[in-house]
This record gives sequence, C-alpha cells and structure tokens, in this order.
Amino acid sequence: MADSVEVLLFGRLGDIAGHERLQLQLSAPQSCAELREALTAQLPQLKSELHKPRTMVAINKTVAQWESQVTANDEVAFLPPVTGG
Amino acid sequence: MPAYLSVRVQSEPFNQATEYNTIQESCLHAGAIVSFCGLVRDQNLQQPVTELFLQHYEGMTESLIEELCSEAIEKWSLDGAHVVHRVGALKPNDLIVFVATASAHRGAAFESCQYVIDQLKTRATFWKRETYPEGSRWLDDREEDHTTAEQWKK
Repeated sequence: MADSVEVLLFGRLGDIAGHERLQLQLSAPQSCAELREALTAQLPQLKSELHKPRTMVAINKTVAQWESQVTANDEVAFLPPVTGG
Repeated sequence: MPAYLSVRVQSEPFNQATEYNTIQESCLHAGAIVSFCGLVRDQNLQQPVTELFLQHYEGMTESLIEELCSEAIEKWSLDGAHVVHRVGALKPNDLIVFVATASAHRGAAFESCQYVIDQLKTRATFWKRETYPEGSRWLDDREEDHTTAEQWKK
C-alpha cells in the first residue's frame, strides 16, 4: 500500500478544491513546497491561492516552513491568511 | 504561583459578564482587569451581512491562542489571561471573541489585552465567511491587522 498524507484545505481553498480534506500519495519524504506542487498538479485551480505570500502550511497542527519535510501519515494543512477575532 | 490561563473555542454563545467574573475570581490578587469584545458587524463595505460563519483548525487554534497568551503573561508578568472565541454560524451583533487580562497595574492590563487580540487577528487559525443577500464570500486578511501586529515587535 502506497504511503500517503492527509491534506486539509481551509477557508477559500476548500471551496476552490471542492473538498476540505483529501489524501495525497507520498512516494518519498518531501518538502511542503513539493507537496504543494503535487496538490497543484492534481487541482490546478488552487495554484493562485496556494501561492499567496501569506498562505501558510502546518504539519500535524504545528506551523511549518515550506522547506519542512513531510513523511507518511502526516496531516498537512494549507492555511489561507487567517481572519479570526 | 503560575498565572491563570484559560482559552476556549466553542460554538455556543458566551456571556460577557460571566467570562469577566471568571477571570476576576481566578485572579484575586489583580489590581486591574481589562477586557475586549469583538462583535459581528451587520454590514461590510455597505453590504448588509446576514450571517458570519467562522471555521477553525480544531486543536491547532487553541494551542496557538494559548501560545500568544503565554507570551503576554511573560512579557507583562500578568496574573492571568482569558480568551473565549466562538466558531460556527453567527448572526449580526453576536459576540465573537472575549479577551481579558489581569495584572497588578492598569498599564500592563491595557497593553497586554491589546497585544492578545492584535496577535490573535494575524496568528490564530480562524477563517470568516460572510453571507449577504446576494451570496457569501471568505474574507481576506486586512493589511491594517498585519501592520498593527508588527508594531509590537518594535
């Protein structure tokens, strides 16, 4: 069985993708930036929003960097600029 | 004695007086308590708002707010910090968020309360979707909020 990660898409990203969560295959550990490319390849309509300067990424509920490594079974969330309060 | 820290994210409405009483009773040595409430506005850019939906990243949101409250507690040597933030579908005039800080003196209480809400606005994992008669849209972050949060670094 291929390794995969759980991808969460919040805010506008979920609407654009049509899904708030999905599984992405992971052939080898890769960076969040690489995962973003894989996600964009699958859902090209996400490209613009995913590349906004203030879009962030989290791994297992902790803020990560685009260079941070993702491994099998991680939960990776793509976070649009937040608007709470 | 460790400072009092309470952070809740919930769909149920909260009562401002009850929350205020809770921090007051939890920080009996405080000389000052300052609080802030954020409410759902009934209009945005001249469009009437019929509903505000708040999405959040369960588990991450709470720990991020706790983190920024802990920063405030350390920076101002607070007696306590208390935050309640609603999620889900809200109506105009509903209370969204309550922030209160307790300290020996008012300077620290005023500044730290502002710090907590300023930081929450740019760091806490919430996303707002407003609904109008014509449809709904996810709100964009505001440049002013980022500038305001940055000011605290100076």
